[in-house]
Amino acid sequence: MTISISSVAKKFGDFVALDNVSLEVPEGELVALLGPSGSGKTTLLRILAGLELPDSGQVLYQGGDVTNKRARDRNFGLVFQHYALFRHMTVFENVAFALRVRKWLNPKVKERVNELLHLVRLEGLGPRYPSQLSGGQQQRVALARALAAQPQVLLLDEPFGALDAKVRQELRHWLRRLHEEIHITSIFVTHDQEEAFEVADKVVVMNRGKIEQQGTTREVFDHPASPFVMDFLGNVNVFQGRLQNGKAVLQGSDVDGLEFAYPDYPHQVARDAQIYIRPHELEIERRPNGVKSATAKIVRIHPAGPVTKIQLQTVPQGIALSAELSRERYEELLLKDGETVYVFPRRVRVFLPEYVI
Amino acid sequence: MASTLNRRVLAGFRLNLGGTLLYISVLVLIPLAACFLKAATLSPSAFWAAVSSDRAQSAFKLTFGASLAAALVDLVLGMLIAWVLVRYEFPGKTIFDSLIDLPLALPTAVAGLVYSSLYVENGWLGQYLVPLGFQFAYTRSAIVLVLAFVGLPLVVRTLQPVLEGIGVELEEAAASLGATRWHTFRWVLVPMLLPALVTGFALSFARALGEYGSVVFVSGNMPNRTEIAPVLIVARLEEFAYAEATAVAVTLLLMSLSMLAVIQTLESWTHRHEG
Amino acid sequence: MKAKSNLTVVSGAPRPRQDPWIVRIGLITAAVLSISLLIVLPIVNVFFQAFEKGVSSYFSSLYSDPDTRHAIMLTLIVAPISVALNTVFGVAAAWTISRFRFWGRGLLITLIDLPFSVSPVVVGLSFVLLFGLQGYFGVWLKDHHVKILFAIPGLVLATTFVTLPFVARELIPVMEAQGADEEIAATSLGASGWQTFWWVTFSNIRSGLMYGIILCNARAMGEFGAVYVVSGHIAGQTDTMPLRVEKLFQEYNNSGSFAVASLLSVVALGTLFLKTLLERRIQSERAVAAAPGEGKELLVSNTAGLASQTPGAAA
Repeated sequence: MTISISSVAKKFGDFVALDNVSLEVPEGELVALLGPSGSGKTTLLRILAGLELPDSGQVLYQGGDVTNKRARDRNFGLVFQHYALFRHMTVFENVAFALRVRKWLNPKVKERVNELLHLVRLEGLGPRYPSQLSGGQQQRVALARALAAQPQVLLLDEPFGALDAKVRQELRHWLRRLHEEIHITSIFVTHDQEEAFEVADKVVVMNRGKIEQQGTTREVFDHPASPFVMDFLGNVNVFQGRLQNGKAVLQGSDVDGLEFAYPDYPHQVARDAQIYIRPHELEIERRPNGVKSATAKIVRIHPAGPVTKIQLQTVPQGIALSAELSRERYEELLLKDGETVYVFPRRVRVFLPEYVI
Repeated sequence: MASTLNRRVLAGFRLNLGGTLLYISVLVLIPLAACFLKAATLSPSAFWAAVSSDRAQSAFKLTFGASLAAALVDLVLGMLIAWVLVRYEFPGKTIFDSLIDLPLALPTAVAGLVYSSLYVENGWLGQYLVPLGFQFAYTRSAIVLVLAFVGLPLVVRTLQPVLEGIGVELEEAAASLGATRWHTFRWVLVPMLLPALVTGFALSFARALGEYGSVVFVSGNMPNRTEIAPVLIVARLEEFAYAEATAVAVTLLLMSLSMLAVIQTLESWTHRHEG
Repeated sequence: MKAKSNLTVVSGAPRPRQDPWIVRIGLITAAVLSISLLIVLPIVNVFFQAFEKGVSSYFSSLYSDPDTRHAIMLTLIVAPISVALNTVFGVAAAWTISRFRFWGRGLLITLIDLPFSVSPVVVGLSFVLLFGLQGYFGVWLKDHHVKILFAIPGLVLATTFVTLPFVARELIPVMEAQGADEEIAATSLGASGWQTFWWVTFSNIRSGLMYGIILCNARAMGEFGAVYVVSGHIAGQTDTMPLRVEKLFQEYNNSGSFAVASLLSVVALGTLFLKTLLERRIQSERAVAAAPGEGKELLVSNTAGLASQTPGAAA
């Protein structure tokens, strides 16, 4: 059953948390609500969970309006950033909680809890207390607990935020595999772009109470709908530019005159625009290319596993540039700090001012 | 945070430690030692006689029983009041919140004076309660009542910060799992409050064990009926029966101290899951 | 951004933390009723009964009775002495316990709490056993014409014993929370122990100290049991205010005893008032440790005075 969020708005005092937000989440999908803090993603999740009431708008599910339905009647599983496990209960009792509330008989409870512990790979840890488990284990218990009463929807609020980087990685893959196993409609909130991309089918990018863009991870990354999305999804180099006659020309010292084909704007009338260049779309060469390239000095090199991030400054004005090279390319060039090189973009994105909201 | 290195860096360790120890020895340890010494001068049989007389027995039972009852009353009332103060808003809440501490600041003699006066036959409350059969003056119930008064803030003030500190998420998690408010309260909140409840009970109980000033006014101090152990001690003192008085005193002291030890153990036991 | 659920009026279904309104009203009523019956009513009654015979009668029972006047004066002598003694002790003990770790530290903390578990009557008794005529020091005291029991020294000792923990218990958590960093910094800048204390520590613990003092004072003025035993309750000589209340009560002088009781109640209410005022300041004192930026500013301003002192200059 699709979850339908329709024109939901929420204010806290003067602060607008959600501004007329609408979203559809088809059954069985794993959707990420991605955005910086204050974007409204957590508020939206909480409204979905029944923990907050929207000021206006509706939440529709299974054909009915559930906006006013209490959290305890919705049967949506909820997983919190800091686990919210009941510390005085064993792992077994934590997972069994929802079943006890529904007055399940002991044998059935035992069966279901063991099934769930097996699902989250924590068999045998039933008698332990949360304080005896690691963060990753606690979060898996929290998940098992949320799934106990077979909810239709799973809601996760920054579920891996409190964990170490390595554990976070593991749990991300693990959540993905779990979803593939049980196909429960899941919505999770994160501010980590990498996490959203690795785990989710669909990504909903939010900013200041609005949805900036939604789509598959591919769509959103390759075709960002706004400067915000583009910037949020990666470090980006921004320049002023001018469009004319199918060309985009950068303006400003040191990069003045750098031009590329931009067939999307074939008109004669010149137009000012912002030009965005992604770090991995910035080429570095030791010799000036035929196409006009900018001169830059290498400031710092950060090897980061499979890619190498390079910070440069244009010469002589010193505009900061971020570039990202594959390891092979970096090793090919044998770059060193302080060297002077030539940069030019392989591809640019243009946002005309009217796109900026 | 402090470390043993501080001794080399910060001044005054020896001076302050020495002064502190001296002060406590002179003021606390030596007087208490005198009690034990004096009690030791009694032969075991004399000691036992002083402590096991009918009068003494009923005094001890009353002291223990009334303190226990008062602590239980405080537990229930304290939980109610702490909950209401932390979770709800209502007009005048700040005033009521600060008034909770009155039993701590008010001299026990004043408490005893006014309580006895309120519940006698023509008192403000007594005029309604006595015809209904509720005697809260010069009875054992009067003792429980005034001890409950004295110990109430101890329970409330122990519970309040703990209640305030319980994260929203736990109740939200319980609700999302389908629990009613009552179920959440009974199975999630109360177990979390258990250490504070135990501590509050312990403090209130210990306070009540030694209470004198207020009880003296409301109980009538009738031997074998409404005489608590401290009153018995004073009575013996006034008869110049120092040794007997000390025997009762030492027993009372040992009772309080051992109760506290039991409760300390209970506390660390209930804190075992504070991962 | 985590939104905190609002407990004030929310339309629609109750939020997870909100109880149904019947439950709320019921519990609030029960709580308010209990507090009113147990606490408010009695304190109102004290003043009511004190002024029952009129305002002039109230003041005359306080002024014209010499024994009552003496009792008031006695309390105003004994209580401040005890409070002063316990304040010095409290500061010294808190300094030792919060700034250092040593063998027996836990024991010391327990010892400080000990007076809470001892019945005041037992306190009085132990002093009688020490200083009474048949006490361990009785003969020595008699020979040297020193009166402890049935005189002010005895009253002070008893009151000081009973109120010993108050200041220490208030200061220890405050000083623990603040940590020794500022004082260590001051020492490294050349401050002596006293300078460190007065320039750095003292300003940080002011509110906690005040709080401990007023609690100590309230308890000291109201102490009954221990003083009852050591005073011999000789009217006009060794009766403090609480003892006077009891004496007047025994004499069936209702309005008199309530008049004195009302004075003590005023002190109690004043203590509560000051307590609420100080409560907020103490929160911020404990937060000094949690706000490193703030703490540094305090540190700089406090030690600036120290740093400008040249060695050998008058402190």
